[in-house]
Amino acid sequence: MLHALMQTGFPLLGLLTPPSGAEYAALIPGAIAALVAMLVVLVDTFHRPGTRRDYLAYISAVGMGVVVLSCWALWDSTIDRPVFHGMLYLDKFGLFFAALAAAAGGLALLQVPAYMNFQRMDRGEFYMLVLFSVSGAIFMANAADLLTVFIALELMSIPVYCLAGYMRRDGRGAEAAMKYFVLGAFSAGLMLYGMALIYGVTGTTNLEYIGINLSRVIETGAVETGFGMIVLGVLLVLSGFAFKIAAVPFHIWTPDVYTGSPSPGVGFMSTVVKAGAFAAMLRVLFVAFEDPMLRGGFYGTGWVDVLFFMSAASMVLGNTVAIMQDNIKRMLAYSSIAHAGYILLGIVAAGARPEYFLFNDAVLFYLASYTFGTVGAFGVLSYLGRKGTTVETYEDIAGLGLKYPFAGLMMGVFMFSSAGIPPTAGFVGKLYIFRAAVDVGVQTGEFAFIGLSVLAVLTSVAGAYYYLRVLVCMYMKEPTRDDWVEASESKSARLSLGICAALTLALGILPATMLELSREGVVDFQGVPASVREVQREGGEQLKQIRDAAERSREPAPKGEVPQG
Amino acid sequence: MMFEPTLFHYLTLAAMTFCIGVFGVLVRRNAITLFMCIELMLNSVNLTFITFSKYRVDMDGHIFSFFVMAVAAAEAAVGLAIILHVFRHKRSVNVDEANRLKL
Amino acid sequence: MGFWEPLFFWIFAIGAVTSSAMVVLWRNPLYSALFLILDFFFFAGLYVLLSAHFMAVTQILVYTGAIMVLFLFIIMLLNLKDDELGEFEFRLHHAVAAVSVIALFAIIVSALLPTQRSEQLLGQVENGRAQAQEALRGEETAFSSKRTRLEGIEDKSRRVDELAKLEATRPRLRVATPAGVKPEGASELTSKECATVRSVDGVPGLFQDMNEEGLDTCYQARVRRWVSKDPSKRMDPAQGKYRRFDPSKPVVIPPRISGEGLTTERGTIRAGKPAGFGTVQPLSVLLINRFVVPFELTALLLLGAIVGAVIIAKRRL
Repeated sequence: MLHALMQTGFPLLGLLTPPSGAEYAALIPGAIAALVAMLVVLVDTFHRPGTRRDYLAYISAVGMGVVVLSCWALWDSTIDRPVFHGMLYLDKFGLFFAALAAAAGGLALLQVPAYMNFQRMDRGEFYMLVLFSVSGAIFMANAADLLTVFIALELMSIPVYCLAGYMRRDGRGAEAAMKYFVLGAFSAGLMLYGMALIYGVTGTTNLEYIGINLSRVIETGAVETGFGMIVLGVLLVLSGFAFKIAAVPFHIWTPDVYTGSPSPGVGFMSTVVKAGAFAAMLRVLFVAFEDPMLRGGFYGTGWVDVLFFMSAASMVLGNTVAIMQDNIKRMLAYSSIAHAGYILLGIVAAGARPEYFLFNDAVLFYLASYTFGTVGAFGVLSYLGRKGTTVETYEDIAGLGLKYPFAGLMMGVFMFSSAGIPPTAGFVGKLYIFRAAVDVGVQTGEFAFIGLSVLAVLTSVAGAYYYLRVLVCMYMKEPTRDDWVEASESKSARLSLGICAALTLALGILPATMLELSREGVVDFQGVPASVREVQREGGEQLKQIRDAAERSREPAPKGEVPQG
Repeated sequence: MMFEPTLFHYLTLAAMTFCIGVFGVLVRRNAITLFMCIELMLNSVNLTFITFSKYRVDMDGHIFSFFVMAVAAAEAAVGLAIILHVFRHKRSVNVDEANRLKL
Repeated sequence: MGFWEPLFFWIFAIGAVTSSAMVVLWRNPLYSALFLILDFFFFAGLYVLLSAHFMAVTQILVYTGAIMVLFLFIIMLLNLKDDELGEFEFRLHHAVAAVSVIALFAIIVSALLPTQRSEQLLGQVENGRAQAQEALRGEETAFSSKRTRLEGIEDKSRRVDELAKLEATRPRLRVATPAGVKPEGASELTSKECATVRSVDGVPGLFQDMNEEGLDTCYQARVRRWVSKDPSKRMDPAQGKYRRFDPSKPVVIPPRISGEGLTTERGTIRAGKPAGFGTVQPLSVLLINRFVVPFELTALLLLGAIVGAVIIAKRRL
C-alpha cells in the first residue's frame, strides 16, 4: 500500500526518509508510560471486588521505574538533531525531565491505594489518568515542534482535569475540576492564538526554524512591520505556559484546585505538570524565541523582562498569602506559586544574556528538589487520612507528630526542604538559584537584578515561617480529636515517603551527582542557536570559567545571599 | 477594490470572533455558554491558521487546525462530563455559585 | 478576483460575526448552541474560500456534527428552567470586560496592520496587466498577418512545416506582476496569471493577496522544488521543512510515472494528477509522514479523555 502510494506521482512521500531505527529511541520513555497506563486498566478489569488495589500501585511504580531506567540507558545515546522529521528531541535535557516526571508519578501513585480505599474511591482509572499525564509530560519535555508541545500539553492536562474532579462525592472536587478545566481551556485558546501568529510570521511550527526565521524577520523587516505579530504571539504563548506553572497573573486556579483534589493527585499535579510545562517553556524560550530582540533583558522589554516581573510577583504574593492560610493544602498551593517564582528567577538569570545559558542547570536541580519535597508533603497528608475524612487544616494535624512518629519525621524533612534549611535538597536548590542570580546580577551590573535576588532571599526567609508552623502544630499542640481510627499505615505509602525523604536528604547532603546530571542535561540541550552551542561545546569548563569570573568580581556584592530558615 | 478579501480581511475577521469569544468567557456565567465561547475562540484560531496557510502556500497550518479540532473534541467530552458532574452536586451550572472553595 | 468571491466572503464574514455575537449575548444556552452551529457553517464557508476544502468538510463533520450535538445533548439533559438561568443584570465587570476586550482587539489589529494589501502595488499589478494585454494584442496582429502570409506558400510540406514552427511562437499573456512581486516558483508560471501581490513587508513568504489559480500553481511549483534532485534548487532551508531532518541520507525519489504507467510486480500503477492545495491527499500524506508523532499522541489523548469523562460523569461505578 505504501509502496503504491509512493509511486502515484504525488512527490512528497519520496522526500521523507523514514525515521531510522535509532530515532525510535526518542519514543521509549513516553511510550512505556502510556503502555503501563493501558496495562493497569487491563489488569484492573480482572480485579476482585472488595480487595485493595495495592498491586496496581506497585505495577505502576515498577513501570515508572522502568521509565527511569530507560532514561538512564538512553543517557549516552542521544541524537544531536530532532527526530521524526523535527517533531521530538532525544537529548539529556528531555531525558532528565522524563526521569523526573516518571519518578514523581510513581512515588505519588504509591500513596494512592490506602488513601483511596479510605475515601471509598479506589478505582483503577486513577492510576491510568496519572500515567497518561506522565506520558504527556515526557513528550512535552522532548517536543521539538509547537504542534507536539500543544498536543503533549493537552495529553498532560486533560487527565489532570479529571483527577481534580475525581472525588465524586465531594462537591468541592467538582468545582475544582470545573474551575481548572474552564481556565485551562481558556489559556490553551490564548496560547493557540499565539502559536497561530508565530506560524504566520515564520511559516513553520518547528522550534529551531521558528528561531531562525524570527531572527531573519527581525533583521530584515523594520521594527514596525512584522514585529507586532511576533510580540503578540510570544506573549500569548508565554501566558499559556504561565498558567500551567501557576505564575502570578495566571495563578487564580491554583489554591482552589489543590484544595478540591485528592491529596496524592495534588502531589502529582503540582510537580509533574509543573516540570513538564517548565521543560517545554525552556525549549520554546531558548530555541524558538532566542533572538536578542525578543529576549530583551532588563527593561529591553522582551520575555526576560516579562518573566522578571512574573517572578517577583509570584515570590511576593505566594509567600505572603501562604502565611495567612489555615488550610495546609491551600498553604502548599500558594507556596508552589512561590516556588514557581524562584524557578522563574533562575530562568531569568540564564536568559539575560545568551552566554549565561548554562545557568539553567540550577533550574533543573531546583525542579528535582522541589518535586521530591512536594510529592512527599502531600504524601504525608494523604498518609494521615482516615476513614471518610481527610487531613487538611492545621487543626487536623495538631499533635499527630508524636502519635505517628514516622509521618512526623517525614513531614519534618519535607518542610525543611521546602523552606530551604540546610541538610536538605531545598537548601542546595535555593542556593544554586540564588547564586546564579547573584552571579548574573554582578556580571551584568544590573541593580534591579541584584534587588530581585535579595527579594528572593527575603521572601524565602518569610516562607520558613509557615513551613515551620506545620511542624509546630504537629509536635507542640494537643490533638483535637481522639475518636479517629488509626491512620492508614499503608506499606506502599511508607515506601513512597521513605524514598522521597531519602532523595531529599541525599540531594541535600550529596548534591554532586544530581548537579552533574542537571549540568549534563543543560549542556546536551539540543536546538539552541550557534552562539550558545559554542559555549556548550566547552561544557562544564565554560560554566566554571563564568562562575570563576563571577567569584572574582563578586567582592562588592552583598554577602547575605545564603538562605537561612 | 476595497471589497476583495485579502489576508488582512481574514485575519481581522478571526481576531474579531476571537475577541467576541474572550468577551463571552469574561462575561457569561453559565458554564455551558462559557465553554461554547471557548470553542468559538478555538475556531478563530483555526481560521487564523488556515488563512496563514493559504497566504503562505503551505499545508502545515491545515494540519495544525486539524489537530486543534481533535483536541477540541476530547476537551468537549471531558468538559461536558465535568459540567454534568457539577450540575449533579449543585443543581446549577452557574460558575458564580461555584464558591464553596473560597475559605 | 471576480464578483462572487467577495460577495460570499462578505456574506460569511458578516454572518460569522453576527452569530458569534448572538452566541455570547443570548441568555438561553440552547439558542447560543444553535447560533454556534450556524457560526460553524459560516466558518466552513470561509474555509472553502481559503481553498481549505478538506478542513471545511471536517469542520462540519466534527464540530457541527459531533461536538455541537454533544453540547445540545447536555443542554437537553440538564433541562435548565428559565429561572435557573438567572436574570441578566448589568454589572460593572461587564463594562470592564467590554473595554478590555475592545483594547485587546485594537492591539491585535494594530499588530496585523502590516499585512494590509498595499493599493499602490495593486495599481502596479493592474497597470502591468493592462500593458501586457496591449502588448499581446499587438503580437497577435503580427502573428495573424504572418500566418496569412505563410498560408500562401505553395509547397505543402514546407507550408505545414512553417506553420508548425509559427504555431510554437503563438503569443501568450505573460505574468503581469511587477518585479520582485513574484512568489516562489513563479518563474514557471507563464500564461496563467498569478495574481499574487508581494509579500508582507519584513515577513518573507507571506503574501497579501492571492487567487485560486495562483495558489495552485505556486503550490505545485513548491512541491516540485521540494523533490528537486539538485540540492541547490531545493527549498530554502530556513523555511523549516525537510532539510535538517536527515542530512546524512540521500533523498530517495520514486521513479516518475509517465503516461502509460509503471509496471511493477504488483501490477501497473498509473499516474494521478498531483493533488491540489487543501485537498485530502497532501493532508493525509503529511499526517502519516511528518506529523505521525502528534497523530499518535492524539490517539493517547482521546483514550485518556474517554476514561476521564467516564470516571467523572458516570453515576455509579
